[in-house]
Amino acid sequence: MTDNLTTTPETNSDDLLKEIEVALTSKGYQFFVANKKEGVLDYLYQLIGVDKQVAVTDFTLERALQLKNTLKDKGVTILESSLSKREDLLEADIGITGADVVTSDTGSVFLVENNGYARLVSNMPGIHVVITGMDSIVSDLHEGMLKVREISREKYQEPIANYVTVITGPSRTADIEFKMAFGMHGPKEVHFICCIWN
Amino acid sequence: MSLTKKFNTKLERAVRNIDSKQGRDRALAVIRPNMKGMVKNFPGMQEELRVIKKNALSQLDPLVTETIAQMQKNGCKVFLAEDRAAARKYVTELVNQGPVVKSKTNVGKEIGIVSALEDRGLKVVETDLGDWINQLAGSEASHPLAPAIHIRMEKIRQMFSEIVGRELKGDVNELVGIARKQLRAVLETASFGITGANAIAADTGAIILTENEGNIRAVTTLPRVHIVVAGINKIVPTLEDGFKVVQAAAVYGVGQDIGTYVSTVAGPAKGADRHFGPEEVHVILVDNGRTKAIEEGFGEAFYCINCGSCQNFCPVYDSIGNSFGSKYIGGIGIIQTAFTESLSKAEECGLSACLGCGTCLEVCPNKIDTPEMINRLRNRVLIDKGLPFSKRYFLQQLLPEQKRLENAAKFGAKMKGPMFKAVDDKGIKVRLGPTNIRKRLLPEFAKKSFLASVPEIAKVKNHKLKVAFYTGCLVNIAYTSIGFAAVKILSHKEVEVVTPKAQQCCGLPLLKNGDLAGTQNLAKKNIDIFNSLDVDAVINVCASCGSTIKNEYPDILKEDASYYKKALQLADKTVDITKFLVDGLKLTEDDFKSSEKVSTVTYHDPCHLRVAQGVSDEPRKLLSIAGMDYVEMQGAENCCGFGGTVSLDHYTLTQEISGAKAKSAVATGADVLCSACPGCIATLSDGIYQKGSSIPVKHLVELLAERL
Repeated sequence: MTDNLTTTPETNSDDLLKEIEVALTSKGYQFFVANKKEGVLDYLYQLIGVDKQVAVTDFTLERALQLKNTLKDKGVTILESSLSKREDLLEADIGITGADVVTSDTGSVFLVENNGYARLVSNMPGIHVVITGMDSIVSDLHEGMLKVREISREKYQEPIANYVTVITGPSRTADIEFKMAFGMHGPKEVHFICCIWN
Repeated sequence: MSLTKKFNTKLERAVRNIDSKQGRDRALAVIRPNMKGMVKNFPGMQEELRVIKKNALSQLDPLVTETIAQMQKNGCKVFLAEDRAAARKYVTELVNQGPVVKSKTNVGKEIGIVSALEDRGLKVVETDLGDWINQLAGSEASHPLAPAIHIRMEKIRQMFSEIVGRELKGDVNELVGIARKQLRAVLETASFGITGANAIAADTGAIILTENEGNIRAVTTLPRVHIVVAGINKIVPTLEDGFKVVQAAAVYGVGQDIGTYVSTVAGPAKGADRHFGPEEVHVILVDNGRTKAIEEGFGEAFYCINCGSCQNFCPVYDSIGNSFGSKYIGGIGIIQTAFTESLSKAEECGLSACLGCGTCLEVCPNKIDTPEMINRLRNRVLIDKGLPFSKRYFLQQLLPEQKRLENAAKFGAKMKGPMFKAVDDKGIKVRLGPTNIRKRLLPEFAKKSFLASVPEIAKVKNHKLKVAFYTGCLVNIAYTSIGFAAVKILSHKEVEVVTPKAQQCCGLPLLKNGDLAGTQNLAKKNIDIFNSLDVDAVINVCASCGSTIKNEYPDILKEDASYYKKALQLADKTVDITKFLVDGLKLTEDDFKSSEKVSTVTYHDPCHLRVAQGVSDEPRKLLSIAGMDYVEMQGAENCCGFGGTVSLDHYTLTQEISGAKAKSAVATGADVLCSACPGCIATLSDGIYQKGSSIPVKHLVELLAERL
């Protein structure tokens, strides 16, 4: 994205926000812009309701929001990687992750990791929630891959991390009479919460 | 029974499978326009991918070595399986507990991985919805990406009702919900999971997989042991190359800019505290004939990324589905079968049925030249077995000697009463023979051949341009009016026309039946004749002949030191008449007289003109310049189904395809159907006739000549 001296940074951000909203919603994501931390929590409470079990990975905004603790305080059942058996994690109704990369052309979310937890949390439950800021956004897959390589080197000291997962919308199939249906194996709903406070 | 006849029996059964055809139609009605729309956004993709694949397969040995080293470094166990038996052995020794969950893998099918496990009493469960439905129904995959598209929802509802023990009445969402639950239960208990690989990156040893359902993610996450089976041809140099492969598969295969999920897996789950993925990853790299294919000049067949795009547009697949091919479907599948199984198997599964339309090449993300490799495989069959008797005389005695052909045609014209039945003024039918020969409308033989009738030089005083006229066999012995119309138009525009009497058959029917040497002989004869003429262009009215001279002649003579250059020379000068009239002579409305009676005309694109020569606008332009009322027919660009001798070996296929074209043409309400290839014209005439219609089928130049 080239610098345009006549536009303010806010306008550039607005354009980018609009761009990813279009890209993500066209791929079936439910898109929500959070102006403040409370916005994220309110959105999640509505989604979680009274009885849904939630699994959460470790990511920057999780720590910033103290998400797991806040939800636990509200009485939500959090299935934690360190405490639960893997089998219990499969009971999760909602999986919450961050996003290492978001591509504004294809509307894809990349998760980069070594141990497979994010794969479990983002694929097995019926609902997947992505919470991220605008700094993870890149323009295309090529740039996405560059960032993946960077993260692999810096975080895992490897040319490539063990798992790279690229998610572009909810799980879908047209195997029955070519009629589209969602939630075949992966999540039926994917929510994208874009955090735009500083 | 010959293998071709054996296949024909399968073909005739497949044509009658209405459910399968309806399923295909349903899927392709969505996929085709989606793909056409999406590829426009990726203009450089074919070139880029082809470079990656060509590069990879030209240095496969070092890439395999690098891949194995990286994978082992990542903690994978790697096994290089030379053949099917070795791969099966490895898997059966490794897997000791069922149920085994599995996602789509073509190589898995190739090596028979499911039967290998089931034979040992292990239960294998397909996790892709379509594959699972087929497993329950005992059915074969009918389409590469939507394998159960031929099975009706009612049947699926029935099967699922039996599984859950209650009668289901809901829609597709209910059925998908049930499948999700059922398969999740199996996934959670399976110790072994088997996947393929869309690509393997040598630089990182990473396995790259793409999908829409999420079953591959589940199979690569939940079981304790993850087994990957992949052909060595899936290896590409870098991870970024691998991403290009999966994106191309999405764009070309279904018209998505990316699949819903892309996963890269480097090895077993890693991490300081706990891991949540498989403890073991085994990668079985399968050769099974791939190295041999590369050594024998067929490596291009293994650039294939199994996206299914070619099948989505193939007229043969459209008619007979997965009966065209074996474990691998389509023309490309037949070539792959020749090397992973045998040449005989390739013959058995449809080597003779490829129409050579070239559409597969057009829509392939790698631009794989499948028709060319099919020709070369047919050449191998010919070298092994020779031609069947019925074709030997026609292709090797009659066609290569134009005088002999003309005499045979003259005799045929004389035999109009006794041997052939006249059908109004449309053509003739053979009186004696099997039904599929007797029912066919054939063009009438000319009493005098065109070459014998036309002056060698149609002189024009003070001509500005001089052209040579290549007629082709059909114009010479049957459709002489096309030849006269062409000369009329050219002379009218003051172009002097030389029609060398010694010209020979272009050789395409020989080439398509594997007689490479025979074609080369004819090529050299024609090259000598036409290159000796001092002309501005060599005009043809037969798209098939034109494309043979322009594309095939240089290709089949590329090893010939002296003739290759000559072939290029002739190819350069050769031009289809429609293109010449628009670009060369620049015809305008003023060249044609307007009359009150304006005919409505519709046009069929010959594959050998549209695909092979890139000419499709010019014919349409000519029709409107000539003052005709043009209406586009649905599927104008689809093959007519002729395929030369394919229409002899597999008339049922030709009839199916030409019948669909006829229906389309008639639906436009046009007064006349026209085209630019006598082969198409003969086939469409039969197609129209079989549908009980009587609209005339003409060559474009005949219509233009009438309106000069």
